[in-house]
Amino acid sequence: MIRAVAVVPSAPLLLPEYTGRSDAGAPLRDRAVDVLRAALPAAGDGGSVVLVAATDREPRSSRPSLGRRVGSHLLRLAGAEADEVVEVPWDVPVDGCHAIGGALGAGPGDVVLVVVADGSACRGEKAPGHLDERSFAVDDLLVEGLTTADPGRLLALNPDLCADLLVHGRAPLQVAAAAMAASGRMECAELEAEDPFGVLYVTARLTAV
Amino acid sequence: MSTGAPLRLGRNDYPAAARLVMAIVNRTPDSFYDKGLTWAEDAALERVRMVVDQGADLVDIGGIKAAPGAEIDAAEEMRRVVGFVERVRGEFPDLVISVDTWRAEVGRAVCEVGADVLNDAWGGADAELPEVAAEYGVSIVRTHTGGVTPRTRPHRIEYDDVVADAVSSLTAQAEHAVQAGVDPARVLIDPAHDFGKNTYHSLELTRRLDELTTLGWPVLVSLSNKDFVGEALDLPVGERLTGTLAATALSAWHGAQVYRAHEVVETRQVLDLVSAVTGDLRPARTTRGLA
Repeated sequence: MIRAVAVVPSAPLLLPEYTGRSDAGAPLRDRAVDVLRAALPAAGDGGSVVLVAATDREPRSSRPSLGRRVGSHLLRLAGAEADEVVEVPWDVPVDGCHAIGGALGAGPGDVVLVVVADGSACRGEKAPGHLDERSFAVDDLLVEGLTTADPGRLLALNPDLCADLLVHGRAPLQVAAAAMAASGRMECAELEAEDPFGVLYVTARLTAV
Repeated sequence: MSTGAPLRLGRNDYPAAARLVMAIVNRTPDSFYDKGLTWAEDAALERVRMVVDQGADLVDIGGIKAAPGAEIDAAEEMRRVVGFVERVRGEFPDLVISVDTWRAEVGRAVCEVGADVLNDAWGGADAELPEVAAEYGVSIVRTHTGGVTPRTRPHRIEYDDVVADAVSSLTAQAEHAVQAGVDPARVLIDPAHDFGKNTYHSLELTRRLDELTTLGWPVLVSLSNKDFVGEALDLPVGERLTGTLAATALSAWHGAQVYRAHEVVETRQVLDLVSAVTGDLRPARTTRGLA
């Protein structure tokens, strides 16, 4: 059973090796860690933590993916570590997300999913992908899917459009959506979204009803 | 070979990778660059306030211009700087205060009122100055001038190898200071661009500054708006900032640790950029490609 879903950003600026003397990611990192602390099982409660992250879209190094590293770092800051890491190809089709997430949601034991996911990176002229007006409707759908804890809305995100808009969280979110659909109804306990650098960052916590 | 050395100024210890700005504060009516702008004591104090606000790590207070001019005896030099040092110390208890003087009796007087560094810009012209530094536990700057008389311009001086001459002279002066009782971490060496040198000498010292920064003594450079910059670029005083900053960057790359400068903000930026390139200082704020 999926007991909780925590959504955290995958921005590299959250990693210590990319932090300047003035920490541009500090507020976002703090919020992400707060969400994780609230979602993680208390000591002795049992249950496992599964980190879901996407592969890098343009890998040029031999290092683990940025999503995996950022998620692991945030978990460490929250005093935990993942029992399992599910790294999905960033462009895996929706059917593939269904298969991976369905298995997670139907598995035994209580699970907290930590989903490393961002919305569009095309939300302004200074954004990494410049401005693409289509970003706002796609990001609205993404945020609504989380706010309403509706797997159907998250699964309705279009992979090709998301790829165009540099939505790095589409695949992990659809894995989580499939897991939620296979597990049981959930509700959104908290969600914040912002785009300080033209990238939509979401911190959210969904809990089983 | 590693560059730089541990450095102690006032109550502060700095690592070998430190790059410090020493802001020039003239209590003179006739220095080449500011031409008396801070001759009045209140104006000089206002400059101290400004450079501290701009991020200067220390100030260098001088009462005599380097170039030839009217004779300024020790009594007059002390009238210009001692009371002023006392006033600066009163307003800035933690600021590192250097005084630019070659005279031991002036050094003693300023140490009595709180100076932290004796900047002997004239290459040990007064042999007793290191003893004063030792007596008061302050830092001292040793400079290479080729042995010229204070406040004289170089005239047809040649060296077989100006860098070798500087290494030899500065090593001897630094060791002499330690023998006199000065803490080795309080002994700085300065190749003294322009002093006893033509422009070719100063450029060569800049090019080969690593031969000084690997000696084990912290290196101070005084480059600001000097003639070697002006002659290299054919620019008058007042138009030498860009050239000064280029020489500053090269010196920083070679490992110099203290930069005597008129323009604090620009110097600080250059030093921080070099420190960021060398990896000694993290960038100020990073989001590019990382959002």
